[in-house]
Parts: sequence; C-alpha cells; structure tokens
Amino acid sequence: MSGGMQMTRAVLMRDLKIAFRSGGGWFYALFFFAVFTALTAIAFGPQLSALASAAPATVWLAAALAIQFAAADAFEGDMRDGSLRAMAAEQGGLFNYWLAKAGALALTAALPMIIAAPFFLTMLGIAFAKGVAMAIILAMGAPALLFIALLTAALASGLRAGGLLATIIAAPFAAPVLVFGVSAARITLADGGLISPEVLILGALSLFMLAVTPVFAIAALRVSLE
Amino acid sequence: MWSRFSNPAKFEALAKTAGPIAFWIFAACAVFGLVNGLLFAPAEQYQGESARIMYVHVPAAWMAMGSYSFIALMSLVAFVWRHSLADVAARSAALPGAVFTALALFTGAVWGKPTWGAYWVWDARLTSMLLLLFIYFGYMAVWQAVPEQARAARFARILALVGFINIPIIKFSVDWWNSLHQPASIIRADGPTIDASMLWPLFAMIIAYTALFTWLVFLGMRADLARQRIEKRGARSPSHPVRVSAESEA
Repeated sequence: MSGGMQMTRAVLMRDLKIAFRSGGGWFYALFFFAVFTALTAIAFGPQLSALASAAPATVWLAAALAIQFAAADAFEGDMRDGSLRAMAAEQGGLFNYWLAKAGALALTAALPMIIAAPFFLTMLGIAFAKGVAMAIILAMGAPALLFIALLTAALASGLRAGGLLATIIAAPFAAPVLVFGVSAARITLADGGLISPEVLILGALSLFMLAVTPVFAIAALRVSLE
Repeated sequence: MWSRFSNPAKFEALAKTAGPIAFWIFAACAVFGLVNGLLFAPAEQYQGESARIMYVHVPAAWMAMGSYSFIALMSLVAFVWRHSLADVAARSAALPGAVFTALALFTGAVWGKPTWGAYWVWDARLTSMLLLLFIYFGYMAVWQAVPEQARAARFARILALVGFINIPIIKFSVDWWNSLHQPASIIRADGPTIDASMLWPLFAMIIAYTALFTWLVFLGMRADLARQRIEKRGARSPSHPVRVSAESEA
C-alpha cells in the first residue's frame, strides 16, 4: 500500500509540476469559467437583478463544462508515451493512477474555480457572503462532476472524436448534480441557510460517484490500452 | 441452457425459428390491440378520443425502459461470462430501444397538446425519458466510434452498466427538480382505474411491442453475425459486379 501511495504521490506531483510550469495551463479551467460567466452576462443583459436570478444556473453550468473539458485529455499524454501501460502492469497500479489524476484535476481545475466563484458571483449581482456560501455548495458537488468527467475521459481516450463524445456521454450523468447543485444554491440565496437536504444529497452524489466510477474508469482505461 | 445458445450456429437455428414466431405474435397482437383500442374501446371519460394514443404511447414508454434493461443485462452477461453473443444482442437492442424512446416522446408530445395545451412540458417523466434517449445516443455513438468490434464491445459494456446504475438517480433527481419548479398541475388525469375494455387492447399492444422488439433484436443479431462472418473470411463486398460478370463470360 505504501508503494501504491508513493506512486499516487509521484504521479500527482508530476501532474502538478506539468500544470504549474510556464505554459502548463492550470488556469485554463478557470479561464473557461470566467469566459462562460461573462458570455452568460452578455447574453442575459446587464440588469443585475435578472443576472442574480440566473446566477446559480450559470455557475453550475460553467463549472460542469469547465471540469468536463479540463478532464477531456487527462489520459492522453500517458496513453501516448506508454507510461500508462507501465503503470497498469503494477498491482493495483491503475487505481493509484486514477487517484492521482483525480487529485491533480481537483487542485488544478476545481479548486481555483471554487475560490474564484464568489468574485464572479459578485459580478452577477450576488452579495459576497452569499457567493461564499454558493462556492461551498459548489465544493460539495464538484467532486461528482469531476469523477463523471474522469470516467467519460477514460471511455473516450480510445475513441475517435473523443472529446465531444465524452461530453455527450457525461450529460445525462451530470444532470442530477446540476439539479441538486442549482436548487441548493437557490435555497441559500433565498433564506441564507447553507445546510439543506439538497446540499446533503449533493454530497451523497459525490460519494456515490467516488464509489462507482473508479471501477468503470479503470476498466475503460484497460480496454484503451489494448 | 444459456451457454448452449452462445454457439453462433445454434443461435442461428434458434433465431431462424424464434424470430418469425415473434413477428407473427407481434402482427396478431398489434392487429387485435389497434382495432380494439382505436375502434371499439370506449373513449376516455375526461380526455375523449385523444386518450386513444395511449395504445401506442404506453407500450413505447414501457419498451424504452425494457430495451435498456435488456442492454444492461446483456452487457453484464458479456462482462461476467465473456459471451461475445451477448454483446451482439446488446448492440442490436440499442437502435430499437432508442426508436421506442423517441416514439414515446413523440406520441407523448402529440398527446400533450390536447391534454396539457403544449407539445412539450418539462414534466419529470418527459425529462427523464429525454435523458434516457441521450444515454441511448451515447451508447450507440460508442459502438460507432471504435472500428474494431471486439474493442467497441468492451467500451459499450462499461457505458451500458454505468448508465443503468445511474438511471434511478437521474429519475429521482428529475422528480425532485420538477416538484420544485412546477406545481403538480400536469399530472395525467387518466381515471382512477382502467376499464377492462381499455385494458385488454393495451395489454395486447404491450405484448405486440415486446414481440416486435424480440423480432428486431433477432434480425439485428443475425445481420451482425453475418457481417462478422464475412469480415472473418476476409472477403470484400463485390464492389465491381460488372467486372466479375465480364470475366465469367470470357
């Protein structure tokens, strides 16, 4: 197990190093989030009251798409240079590899977005304190989105036109997360309470996806390797 | 009994007899159900004649879910026992299943116009059916995206099973979502109980759709196996039939 943890840490550190070096692109997901939010504001018009009512949906859609696109080529490099094959030969290697990838995505794609969310929400006419509450809700549901994105990326890694297909495959699975994420954010906006059944279900969805998706993602990676 | 028919030759024999039987069951039940449902069954008390679309709508919705369950079951069989025939069965069920889902959505929309006043409402049932259709799309796209059949099958199995696990969650979430956003004004007003004069045609139509599905799956599987045989033989489809006939003359 300690060997496995070592491998997880090594892959995670490598991915972080690649992401945070100059030109590494750790900020792409954050940029996407910002651009999507701005486009939504432009599409809805400048009235802050109208934007505030659209804000929960905007944030969750932006987060879902940003995570989906950030994960799309998560396995591409290791698949191409053969290091994934080497790790798959290890006992339990792919699970440790999956853990490292999930960790790297959480730190490079999800976390910057969650931290930045209150600031973007201010631009959409949400008070900062409410924005922080919505960011916490986002943090409850983001893992579910991330696990779904990793699963579809693993499925698509062996397919033609993988990126677009991964998004199509992910859409029905992401729908429950959007439902509970947006309604939890709405409840927080309405009465300020943070803990609602919706938030708890959001957390449950994240745990459920954590339990279910690695098995299938690893199976898909194995098929891609053949 | 199961692995007996995993032999393609034995399966072929089964499909050749069972397929036509399924077709004739479909034809008989569809004629009985449609004639009775559309002509002889009484009009519905609240919705009048428009409720007759029930006879094509309800079985389609039933088969939309049934087909996906079949795909998931076959994928599980393929996953556990590595029967390649189960993959073929799952693949052949995808297109009929997607068409049944689309048909359920379409007939639902046509029924919705006189009943609810709109072709489409974001009712929980409609929405989860739409998401099911998207799952079918993803499943079929995976088969399309991988050129080698054996490899495509392994991707498809994974997706089919993940989808099946997620369907109850999607259903639950959409129910929740709808109850939040829309008042319960559009719950269907099909009366308290269905009279026997309407139940029998409906029952016949459900059997008809199931038999149609069975027939289509058998047909699809036979076509798929035939294509695999051709590919294995390395024979190409006759792309130059004119030249072949010229040679035989000479």
